[in-house]
Amino acid sequence: MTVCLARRRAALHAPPGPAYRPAGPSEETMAASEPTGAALVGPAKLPAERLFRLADLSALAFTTTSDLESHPDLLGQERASEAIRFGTEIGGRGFNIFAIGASAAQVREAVGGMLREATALKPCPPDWIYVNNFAAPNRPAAISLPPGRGPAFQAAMRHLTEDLRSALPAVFEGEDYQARRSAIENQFRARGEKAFQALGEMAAGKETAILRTPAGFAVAPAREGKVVPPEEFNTWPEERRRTAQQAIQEVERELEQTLRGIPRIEKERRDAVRALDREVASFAIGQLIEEVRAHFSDLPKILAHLDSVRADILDNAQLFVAAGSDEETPLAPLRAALLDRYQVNVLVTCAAADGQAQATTAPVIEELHPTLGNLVGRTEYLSQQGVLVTNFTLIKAGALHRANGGAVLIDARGLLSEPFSWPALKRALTRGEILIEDPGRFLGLAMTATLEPDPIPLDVKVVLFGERILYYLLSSLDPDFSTLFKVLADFEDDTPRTPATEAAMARLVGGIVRDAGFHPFDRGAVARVIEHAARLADDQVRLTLLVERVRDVMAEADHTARDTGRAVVTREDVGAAIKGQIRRAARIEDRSREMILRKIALVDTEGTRVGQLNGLSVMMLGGHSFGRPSRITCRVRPGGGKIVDIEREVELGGPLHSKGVLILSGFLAGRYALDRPMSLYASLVFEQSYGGVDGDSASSTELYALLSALGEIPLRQDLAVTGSVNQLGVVQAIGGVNEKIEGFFDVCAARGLTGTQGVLIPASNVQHLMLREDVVAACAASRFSIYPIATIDEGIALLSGSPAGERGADGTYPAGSVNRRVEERLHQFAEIRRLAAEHADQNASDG
Amino acid sequence: MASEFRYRRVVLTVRGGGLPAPAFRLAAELAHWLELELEGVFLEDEALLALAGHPFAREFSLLGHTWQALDPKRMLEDFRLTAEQTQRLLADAASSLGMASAFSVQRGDLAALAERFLASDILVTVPSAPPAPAESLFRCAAAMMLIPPRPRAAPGPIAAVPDGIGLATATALARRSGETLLLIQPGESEAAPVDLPPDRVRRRRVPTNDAEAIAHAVRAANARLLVIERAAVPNDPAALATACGVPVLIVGDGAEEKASTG
Repeated sequence: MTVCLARRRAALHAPPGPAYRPAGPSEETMAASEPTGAALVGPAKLPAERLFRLADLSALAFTTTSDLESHPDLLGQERASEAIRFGTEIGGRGFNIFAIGASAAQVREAVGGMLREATALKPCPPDWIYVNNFAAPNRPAAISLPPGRGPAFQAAMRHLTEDLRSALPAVFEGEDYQARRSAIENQFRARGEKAFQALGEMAAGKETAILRTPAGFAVAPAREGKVVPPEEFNTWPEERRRTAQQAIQEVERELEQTLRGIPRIEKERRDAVRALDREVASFAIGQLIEEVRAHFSDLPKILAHLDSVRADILDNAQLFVAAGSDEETPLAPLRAALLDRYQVNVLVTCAAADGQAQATTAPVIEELHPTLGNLVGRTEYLSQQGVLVTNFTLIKAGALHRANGGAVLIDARGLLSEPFSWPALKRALTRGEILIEDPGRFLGLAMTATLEPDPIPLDVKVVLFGERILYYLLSSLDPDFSTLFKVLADFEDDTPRTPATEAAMARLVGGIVRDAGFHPFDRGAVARVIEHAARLADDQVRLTLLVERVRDVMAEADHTARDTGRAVVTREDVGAAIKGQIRRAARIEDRSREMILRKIALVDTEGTRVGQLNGLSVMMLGGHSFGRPSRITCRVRPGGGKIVDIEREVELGGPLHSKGVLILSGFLAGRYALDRPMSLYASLVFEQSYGGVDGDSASSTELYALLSALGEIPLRQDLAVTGSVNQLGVVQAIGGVNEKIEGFFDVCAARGLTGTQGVLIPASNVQHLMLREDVVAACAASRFSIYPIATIDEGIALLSGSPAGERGADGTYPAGSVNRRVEERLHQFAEIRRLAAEHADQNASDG
Repeated sequence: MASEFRYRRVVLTVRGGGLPAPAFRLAAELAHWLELELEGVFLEDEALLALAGHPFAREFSLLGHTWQALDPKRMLEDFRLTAEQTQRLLADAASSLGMASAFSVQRGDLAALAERFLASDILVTVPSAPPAPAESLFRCAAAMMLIPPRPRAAPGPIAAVPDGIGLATATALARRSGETLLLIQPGESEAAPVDLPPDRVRRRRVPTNDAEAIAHAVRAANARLLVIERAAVPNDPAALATACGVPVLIVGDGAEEKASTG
């Protein structure tokens, strides 16, 4: 478990830390002593009204949220709103927007609303379609059409294909076509038969026969139609044999010529049939194509595509004949699919499904799952006969296609966590075009043949939204980032708390109630929500803008009210909801407090100790943070001027904690023993801390313990301390002040409040106090106290009951003061060290 | 085997270079529909063996369009391979229809082959170039189915030029195959009665009885088979089959009698 010394916003950080144990006094001096009692020295405790700031809704007349109008704008996000407006209006290249903010700030919803407003005046972008590229089918052609006309062209081509499926088979089955086709077939068949017939006659005339062999044809000597066997042939006179062989050779030559001529005749036949098909098809399709052309005569690219369609149909008219045969064969679907080449894939359109124009403004698309395919589109595949096939009709649009001409809102974390998506988006923005890419190729996977569709020009405003860390990481690690996302929209986490913003927050609460369908919230409930918003901001003078967390409490309060059958949500319901949230998450907090109460974790809440003090830390687990007291001790002895941070020595301390400890050396060196070397060895430790410690909010506690150990001054154990300190002894603000106070209060309350118990906090943290109701009540009843501390002198006086003391004109501190006792001890250490050095030198010279 | 006709067997005759693959399926379907035995006969042509014995013998290969020497050993090996392939293809086609098939190899000439045929056989063969004396074989058999070089092998009507046993055979084929019956009626001939539901019968009138007109009708209807009386066959049956693009079943000679089974 890590002890986090909570940090306050950007500049202020300081979790409370376990106090180290100052060395110095003997074990005996660390024994309990009596509490200092009445004669307290130091600053006065804070009045109860400084510990919590109530909401002031007196200027807003309403009984319940039903009387409130919704807040019209984004509350407290003027800077981000201005950035979004600027980013959407500016047209330069790379002026895309990165909206950053806490995840609960509802950046996506806010940006989406603003984008829709900003693009409302932009016209609907053109439609984009993909059609077959007849010259290169693997590279589908992209064509832009005026808005809404894509589906019309798609329908026209579908009707054209359907008409041709009826018209062309009718033409090709017609008497005229069949007669001419038969004439062609007969003509070429007759040529082949005539050639074979002549060959046969020639062979017979030369006493030879043509035989069909397994692989082809052969010529044999024949007599009376029968092949002359070798034994008979060999009995012939040589002259006759020679004559017969010459005859065979002549027939073979003729046979070869005839057979070689067959493919040529077949080709001529195919050409003639093809010419006939083109002639017949041309007549059939001419009128149908012209009807389509008439509707799109203003679009040259469409007309050019129709020319290509016409030429292809003429070459492949038989596809329609085969597809129109209505045969239920396994190949029938494949034949019908071949006609898909004439279809139109409407990739994006502003027309509704029924063909009527619907969208009139530029689109705003939200892509919450930006995979590569969802972003830049993809090509799908169908399984046919066990093979994956695709064509241009299976190209699917991505978010960039759908948002083209408008804006697209993308979750940055999702974008960065999806393989290939971020580089693909950068490529699209850099090239200014959308290129559909196949992830299989990136992975080097063996794929079936795929498509390379024409890229589509990109004109889109990309808005990424996500956490701040993503923006800063990309800024520092990706050199392309700053050129592609030039507009930062930084959403605030909180806003100043003024009567105006409290009223605005009340309206925001009213809007949430209406949108979510909650029961109305009464004035008290609204005020409690606003006060909770301040507590979430850890500040009396600021309100959180993490709307999601506010809504969560409201939802639980509504649930509580409904559970008890009330129609209006009250302040008590909100309070119960807040307590319920804490209780559900507080198991570890309860166990931690139990350890202290059972004295397993040693934390005193009464008496005094030398070199020992209660520090405060904040633990953050999930969404819950709570304060926990820790004992910090210190021990000292003569040495070389070194203060040892035991946490750092065992690598449990973070750099900020180490820094805080090192500052203590600077403080000591600047205030004490100015005329002699620092001869101190001190060790500081967070007792019973077994996890990491970071932050410097315990540095003042550590300094008090160190001063106590040096001056052998008992410190009060009924007080706990938080605050960082600088080298001049000024106490500085820390984070998590409310949780820290409440953590110590809970321990004290469990043991019994004595009236002397309390917490020292930096004076600059008073403005952050939004303490729990029971803590405020205890303070109001003087049963617990909060002390604002500005300097170490103030704090040590309160803790020790003795004044710190100021150096007089003689250069010494007043007798009995803390500073006097500390300085005298340091002088003693210096003297001891000097004598030890002399003794060592004497031994060396004697030796 | 039960059949309403005197047909008993479908005999697929194979010579020389074998048959196109669809021929086996077509022969098997014919046997299946008419409930006949199916047999394949491969003829090892003695004339070819005699030619291969000549030292000057060579053949012109249709694959490479080159001349290559012939020798008896290679010729016999080619016969063996072709016969094995024929037997396998026929068995595959038969088993796909749940039938058995027989197969034999015979050495001799066409006349010897003709002696094997019975008057109840339907011969199935492919017209070849130069034309083989198929007619001589046909004289020995009841019917002959000529398969064109690239037959259309897809569902479609059973076409018939209606006349006597031809119409009865076509009607039986249409009934058993589940196809419609397309009656091609030349000139003004009267419509013959058909024992099929009316929606299973289509009629198409053609101007004349010549091969061109019949082929035209067959192609236009995407028919899968033409049944025609031998007497009505134009001069060149092979040309008719080629023009139609589908098998042509030539039946009877007028003397054929229907053998009633019951």
